[in-house]
Amino acid sequence: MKLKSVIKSSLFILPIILAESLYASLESDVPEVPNFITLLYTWIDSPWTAFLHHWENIIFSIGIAIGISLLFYFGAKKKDLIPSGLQNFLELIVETLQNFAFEILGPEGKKYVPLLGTLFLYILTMNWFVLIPFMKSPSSSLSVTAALAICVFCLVQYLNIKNWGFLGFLYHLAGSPKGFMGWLLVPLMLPIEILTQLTRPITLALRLFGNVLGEDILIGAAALYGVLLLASVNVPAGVPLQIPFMFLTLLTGLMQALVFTLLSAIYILLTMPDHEDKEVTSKV
Amino acid sequence: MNPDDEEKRRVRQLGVYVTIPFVLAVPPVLGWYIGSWLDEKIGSKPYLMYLLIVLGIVAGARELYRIIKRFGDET
Repeated sequence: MKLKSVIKSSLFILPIILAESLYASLESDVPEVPNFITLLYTWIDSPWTAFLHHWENIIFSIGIAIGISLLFYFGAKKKDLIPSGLQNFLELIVETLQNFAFEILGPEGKKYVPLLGTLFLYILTMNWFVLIPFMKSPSSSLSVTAALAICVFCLVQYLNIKNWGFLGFLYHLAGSPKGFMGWLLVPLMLPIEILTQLTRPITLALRLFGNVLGEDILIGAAALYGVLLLASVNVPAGVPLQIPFMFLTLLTGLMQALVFTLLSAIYILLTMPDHEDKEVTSKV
Repeated sequence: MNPDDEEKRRVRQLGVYVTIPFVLAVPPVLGWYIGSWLDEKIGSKPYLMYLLIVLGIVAGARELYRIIKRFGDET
């Protein structure tokens, strides 16, 4: 009897809390759809909910990483020759990613399939996570995307120094000068190339972060207006105005993940000397 | 070229072209930051900052050229 009434009252309370946190997000600078951690934080005021709220992006991203790892671990455990079910699905994904890497990097791409595939799946899942009710895209936080971009940056610089040698890389950064005019231009070319190298991770991080955050804000604002529409008649629910934007998120989330992976692949490609030569000659 | 490949190419092109604003905007800002930091170190306010902003604009344009070169005529 008591349990029933509790469930009944919670059915009424939940939308109210939802609406409350949506209203609260009006006052904060970023209107996002409340996730379950925000709900816990507004509902229960204690140090550990504050802690969860403070680290919510990290918690979500770690959770997603663990989820993907477990999915692939258990999905790949069964090694049937003729795959079916989950194994079939995972093999399809892996094969598509492998083709993607081969298409850009050629036969050397085999080494980078794990990195590029993980990047793609991880970012895609993070981008789409906002579509699940009470969840949030952790890639709408700059620190998460910056971490990914820094990983790519470090790998690319390592490959640069490995493939060109340190002095060779410096020579390459100086624009591979030949003749007197070439060496005269070195003081100009070197800073330009260094700026280009430094810009790449920043561009990667900012673009992913900006697009996902914008999408989240769009969904949040639409949800907020849905609630505001019915606020005058005192109904603690909202018109689901955010549904069309969720379809947009499906598209942009996929595209952002694809672009991040594509650009990482191209930065890796540019570290390989023969490809770079081809590009330089075709440019002149 | 089969239509599936064509569509893949289009999506890829569109995705990469979304980067162009960032590619153009980030290098001058980065140059500004690095330039003013170097100016503080060396004491050559404000010339290095101006120089690096200009070089940043050039770097952005070069990167834009590379992107269009690579993806623009990928037929």
